[in-house]
Amino acid sequence: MAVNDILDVGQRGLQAQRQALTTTSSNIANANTPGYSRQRAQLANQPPQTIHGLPTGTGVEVKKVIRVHDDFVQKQLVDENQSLGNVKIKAETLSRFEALATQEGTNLNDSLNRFFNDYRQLSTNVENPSLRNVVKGSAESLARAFNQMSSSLESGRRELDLRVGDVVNQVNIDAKEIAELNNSIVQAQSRGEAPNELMDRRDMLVRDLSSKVDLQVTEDQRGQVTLVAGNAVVVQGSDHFELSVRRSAASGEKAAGSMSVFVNSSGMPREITKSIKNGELAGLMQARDKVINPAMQHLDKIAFSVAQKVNEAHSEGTGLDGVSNRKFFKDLGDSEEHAAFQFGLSDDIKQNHELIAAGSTEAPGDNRVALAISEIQNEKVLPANELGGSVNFTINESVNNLVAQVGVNTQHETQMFEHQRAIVDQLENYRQSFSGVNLEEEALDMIKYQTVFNASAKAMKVGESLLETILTLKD
Amino acid sequence: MPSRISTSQLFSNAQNHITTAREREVSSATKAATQKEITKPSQSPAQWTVAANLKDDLSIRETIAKNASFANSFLTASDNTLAQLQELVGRTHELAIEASGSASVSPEQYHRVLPEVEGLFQNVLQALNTEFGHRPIFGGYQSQQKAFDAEGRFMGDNGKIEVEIDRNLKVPVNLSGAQIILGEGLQRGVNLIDTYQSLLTGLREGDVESVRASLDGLTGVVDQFSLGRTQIAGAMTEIQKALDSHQIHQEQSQKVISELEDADPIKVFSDLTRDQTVLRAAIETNRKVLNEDPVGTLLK
Repeated sequence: MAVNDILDVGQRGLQAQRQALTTTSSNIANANTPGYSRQRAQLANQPPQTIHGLPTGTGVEVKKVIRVHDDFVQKQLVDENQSLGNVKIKAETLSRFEALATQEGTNLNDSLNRFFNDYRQLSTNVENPSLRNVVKGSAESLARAFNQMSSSLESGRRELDLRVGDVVNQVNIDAKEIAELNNSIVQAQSRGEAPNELMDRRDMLVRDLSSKVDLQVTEDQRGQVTLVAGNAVVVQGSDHFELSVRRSAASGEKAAGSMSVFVNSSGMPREITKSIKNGELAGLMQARDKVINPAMQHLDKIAFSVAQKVNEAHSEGTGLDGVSNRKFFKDLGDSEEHAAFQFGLSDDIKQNHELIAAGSTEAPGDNRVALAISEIQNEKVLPANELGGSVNFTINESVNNLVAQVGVNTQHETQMFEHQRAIVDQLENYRQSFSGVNLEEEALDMIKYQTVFNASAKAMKVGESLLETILTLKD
Repeated sequence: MPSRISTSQLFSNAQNHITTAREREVSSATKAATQKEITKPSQSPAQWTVAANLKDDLSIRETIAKNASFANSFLTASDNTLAQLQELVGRTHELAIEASGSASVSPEQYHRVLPEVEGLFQNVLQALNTEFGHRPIFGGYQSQQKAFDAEGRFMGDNGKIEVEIDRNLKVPVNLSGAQIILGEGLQRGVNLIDTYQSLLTGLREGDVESVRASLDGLTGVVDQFSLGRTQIAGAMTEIQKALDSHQIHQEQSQKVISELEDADPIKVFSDLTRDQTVLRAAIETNRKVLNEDPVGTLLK
C-alpha cells in the first residue's frame, strides 16, 4: 500500500463527514419547516483493495442522502385529512350560523310574541284606536324580523358559495404546483439526484389538498402521483386539470343559483359536484344544502303560515271603516318560496291602522277577530321541519325547533371535528415523531461527524508525516 | 420502545396544552360572567329548546294574565251593578207591597210612594248604564253608546264579549242586557223596564191591581239578577283558577328555566380556579421545557 493511499482514505473520510455534517446542518435549519422530513447521510465503506494478498480498506463514502419518511402515515393522513377538512369547515360554519340563528331566532320569537300579545291586548279594548297603531307597529317589527333572518340566511348561503369558489381556486393552485413537482422529481431522478425536498413539498401539498377535497392518490413507478378529486382526474404526471365553479339550476337539496363544481378536462366542463363527498369543498356545499337551505325553507314555511293564518282570520273581520275582507299581511300567493323575505304588511294596513279588523261586525265592541288572531299563537299549525309531515307545532315552537336544529347540527359537527382532529393530531404526531427533526439527535450527530472529521484530518497528517519521512531518506 | 420526540413536536405540544387550557379557562370565565350554563343551543339542544319554549309561554301568559285580570275587574263591576240593582228593585218591591197592602189604598199613600219609585226607576236606569272602561256593561258589542236610553229602551245588542284567560280558554265577561234586564230568551223571563212602567202607571192611576201585578215581576227580576250573579261567580271562579294557574306556571317555568340554563355558582368558580391553575401550570411547564438549549449545551 502506498503512503498516498493513506492520504486518499483520509480525504474520503473528510469528504464523507463534511457531507454528513451538511445534512445535519440542513436538518437543524429545517427543524421548523412545515412538511420537512429529516434526512440521513447513508455512510458506506468503500470496496477494499487487495494488497500483497491482504484485503485493505479504502475508506468511506456517502452512498445517498435518504429522506426519513413513512408512506403509510402519509396515506393515512391524506385519508383522514379529507374528513377533518369536511367536518372542520362544517363545524366552523355552523358555529357562526348558530350564533346568528340564535340571535335572529330570539328576535323573531320576541317579535311574534309582541305581535300576538298586542292583538291579545286589542281584544280587550277594541275601541281604542291607539292599540291598533301598536298592533301595526309590532306587525312591522315582525316583518322586519322575518326579512332580516331571511336576508342573513341568504347572505350566509352566498358567503358559502363564495368560499366554494375560493377553495376551488386553492385546489387549482395546489394541483398546478403538484403537477410541476411531478415533473421536477422525474427530471431530478433521471439526473441521479435525490429530490428529497421536492418530495417533501409534494407530500405536504397533497396533504393540504386532501383537506380541501376528497382525494385518491396513486404513485407510478417513476414516482409521479396521480390525483383524482371526486371522480375527476386533477393531476396526472405533469398535467393538471382545473376545477371551476358556476351557478346551476336547483337539484335535490341544492337551491337554484347555487355554485356547482366542474372539471375542465378534454375541453368540455363536466359537473362533478355530486361526486365530491369529503373535504372542505364538500363541507361547504353540505353546510349550504343540508343546513342553510332547509333552514330557509323552514323559515319560509313559518312566514307563509303566519301570513296565511292571520290573513284568513283578518279577512273575516271589519275595519273601523266598516269594510271587510281585507288581508293583514301581504298576499304571498300559493308558494312558500321566499315567503320570509317577502313577508310584510298589506298596502291597506301599511297606510292606515284604522283598517285593522278586530271584530266580525261593525259593532265597535266586537272583538271576535282580535281573539281569533291572538289564538293562532296557541294553534299547532306547523310541521316539525321543512319537510312537512304531521302538523304538531305552534309557530313559536317551530321557530325554536329551527334554531335547535341548527344547534343539533352544530353540536354533531363540533363533536365530529374534535374526534377527527384527535385522529389527525395523532397521525401528525406520529409523522413528526418519525420524520421530524430532533435537535439533540442532530447535535450528537454533529459531534459524531465532527469527531470523525477531526480524526480523518489527523490520519492525513500522519500520512503526510510518513511521506516526509520517506522523502528525507533520499538525503 | 420510547417514542421519538421531534423538536417541533415539543413546540406544537406546548401550543396544544396552552391552547386547550386557555379554551377551558375562557369557557369557565364566560360561565362565571354570565352565570349561565347554556349560552347557545349546541351546548344542549334539547335543554335549550325546552327553555326557549318556556320563555315564549311565559311571555304569552303575562299578557293573558293581564287580560284575565281585566276580565275579573269587568265581572266585578257587573256583579256590583247587579247587587245595586237588586237593592233598588228590592226597595221598589217593598214600596209596591206597601202601596198594595189593603184593598182600599188612599191617594195620599200612592202620592207618597210614587216619587220614591220614580226616583228608584231613575237610579235603576242609571245603574243599567254603568260603564267599565268607558264601555256599558250591559250593551253587548254596542260599546260606544248607552245601553238604555232615558225611556229605558235597550240600545245594545246580544254581543258576547269574550276574553282569553288561559291558553285556549276564553270566558264571556259581559251579561246580555236583553236577557238579564229584559228577560229575553229566559223561561218566565221578566222585563224590568216594563215592570217598572206598569208599577208607575198603577201608582199614578191608583190602580191597585196593576201595582199588585208588578210584585211578581219585581220578584222575577231579582231572580234574574241572581241568575246573572251566579253566571258571574262561575266566570270569576274560572278566572281565579286561570290566574292561579298562571302564577304556578310562572313559578315553575322560571324554576325550570333556571335549572336548565343557570350555572351553579360554586361549581363555576371552582372550575374557573381549577382552569386558571391548569393554565398557569401549562405555561410554566412549557417554559421550562422550551427554554432548554440542547444544541448549545452539547456543542459548548
